[in-house]
Amino acid sequence: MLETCQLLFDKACHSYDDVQRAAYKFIDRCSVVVSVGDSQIVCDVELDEKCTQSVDLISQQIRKEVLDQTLRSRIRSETEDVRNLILAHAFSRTGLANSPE
Amino acid sequence: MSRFLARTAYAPELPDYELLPFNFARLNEQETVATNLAGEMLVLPNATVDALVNHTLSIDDPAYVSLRARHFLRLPTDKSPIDLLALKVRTRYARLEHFTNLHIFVVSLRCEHSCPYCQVSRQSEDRESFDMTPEIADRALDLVFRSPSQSLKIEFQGGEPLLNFEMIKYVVEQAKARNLVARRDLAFVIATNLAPITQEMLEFCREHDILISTSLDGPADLHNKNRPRPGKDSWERAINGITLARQTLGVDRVSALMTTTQSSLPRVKDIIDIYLELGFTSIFLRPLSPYGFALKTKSFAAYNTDRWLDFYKSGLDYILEINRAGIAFAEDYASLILTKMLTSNDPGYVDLTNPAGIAIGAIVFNYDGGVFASDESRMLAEMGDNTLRLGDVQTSSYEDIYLSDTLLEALESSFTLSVPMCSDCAFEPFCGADPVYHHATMKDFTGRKPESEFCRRNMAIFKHLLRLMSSDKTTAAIFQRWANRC
Repeated sequence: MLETCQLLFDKACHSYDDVQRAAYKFIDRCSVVVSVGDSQIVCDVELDEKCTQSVDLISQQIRKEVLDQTLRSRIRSETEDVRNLILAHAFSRTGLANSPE
Repeated sequence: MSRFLARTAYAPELPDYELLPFNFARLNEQETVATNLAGEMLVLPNATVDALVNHTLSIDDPAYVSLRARHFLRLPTDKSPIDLLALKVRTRYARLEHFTNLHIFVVSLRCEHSCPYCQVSRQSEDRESFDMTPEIADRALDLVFRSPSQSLKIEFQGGEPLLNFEMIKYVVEQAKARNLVARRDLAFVIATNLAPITQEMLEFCREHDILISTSLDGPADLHNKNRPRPGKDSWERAINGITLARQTLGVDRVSALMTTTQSSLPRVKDIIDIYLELGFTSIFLRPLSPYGFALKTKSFAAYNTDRWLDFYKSGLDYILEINRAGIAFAEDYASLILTKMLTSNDPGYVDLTNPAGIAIGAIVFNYDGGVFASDESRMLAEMGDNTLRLGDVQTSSYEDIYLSDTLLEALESSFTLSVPMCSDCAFEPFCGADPVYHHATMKDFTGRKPESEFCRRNMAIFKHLLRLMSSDKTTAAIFQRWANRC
């Protein structure tokens, strides 16, 4: 019988995308089904047969990763305009960027 | 109550800062590495990163000045950070506009060695049907000179390319003749085991300023075990060849590469000692790749990534010890990564570039006219996987080859800024896409990075280099020298 656990994340604090990105990092050790409930994002985790880590440790690591992903998504969203501006500016003279019609 | 106020009391009223784009990765319970779009890097306390993103970082924080100077944050009144970042991003990707520089000519698939780890299937020495013909070479040269790159490097590979030295002479002479009009910066390299080298060949190399790159796996017993040939004298021939080539061409015109086999694993110091004794100033500690004979003979599966990393780290420790004793000697893979970490230069090493270097950085013309996206791609073809065979010099146009759906799909789907896990990885600026590795191991150009040995090996090396750098100032100074070698 494979070890399983369920992790719950508050939808008010975390996005589905953040939880999914965090879960993806663990696919070498477990499979994760991410679903959305009324107020929570649900992660159903099932450890791979070959996984040598405990279910508690994996749960702890996923929770920490979700926090990091939430910070990352804050950076991404706050810097989107400037990121596009910098890249467009950087490639403006290379001939590689699309010129406006 | 103190008569004196804190420094912050005299600071001008500053508006809240704005974040500039960056990624971060936790190194341990205390520290985080953060990198911006241009690959500039800072190692920060975990709490500092949290405060930075939550806009609670105080101007008094010791990291504030560095974060502002390296463009992780800016004040709304700051104008220059955007321009400077753009300039640095443009510098980081500058090589892209030059397009293909390295053109590999497989002038023969014949080889007198029978190395079990060889990455290309070789044929016996007497089968000339595995040699490149002048017609194929001419057509390949047409394609070489279509590249917009001012610098064109032609590298001769095999098999053992010296077994078809007449074709090397032909390509060099034809390329130089064409270059009288094209006026490019033309360079030539022969990747050879040196066993068939003669003084006459070396005179030709001197006349045409040709570099020699050879294989040297370590001390005689290890090298000869790794690289069997009739007479069991591969090492002796390599050493004689190195000596002769250095006498004729100059010491700096001859370089060597090693490959790590299972037998190499306990002997990293012996291997490094041989390179030192022979007067080389660096060594490239390379793992086996999952291609060609290395797979067929199970050499690739003989050790795992963890075992190779132990080997690599022991080697690096020993090399640092040598440097601390006053001898300048570098490890080449670390140098490539450190150049990306500590300078604005990108050495353009194909495994560590994004977009991937396949075809747009280096391309291969096989002996039979087949065009491959990289050396590894033709190795896959020798195993029966022709996915990355982009065309044939005799029937395909430049446009057919470089705009082929296969190539564009491999480049696009492996682009690290849009690949799961790579896109938010702090080490992305130092790493690469390597679609061929992931296609070979997972049948997928993108690859599942949590399961990728390429990712695991490189992440471990990046973190190890950072740990070493922060552990003592002498190591940091040595690494600075390695990063600024060119």
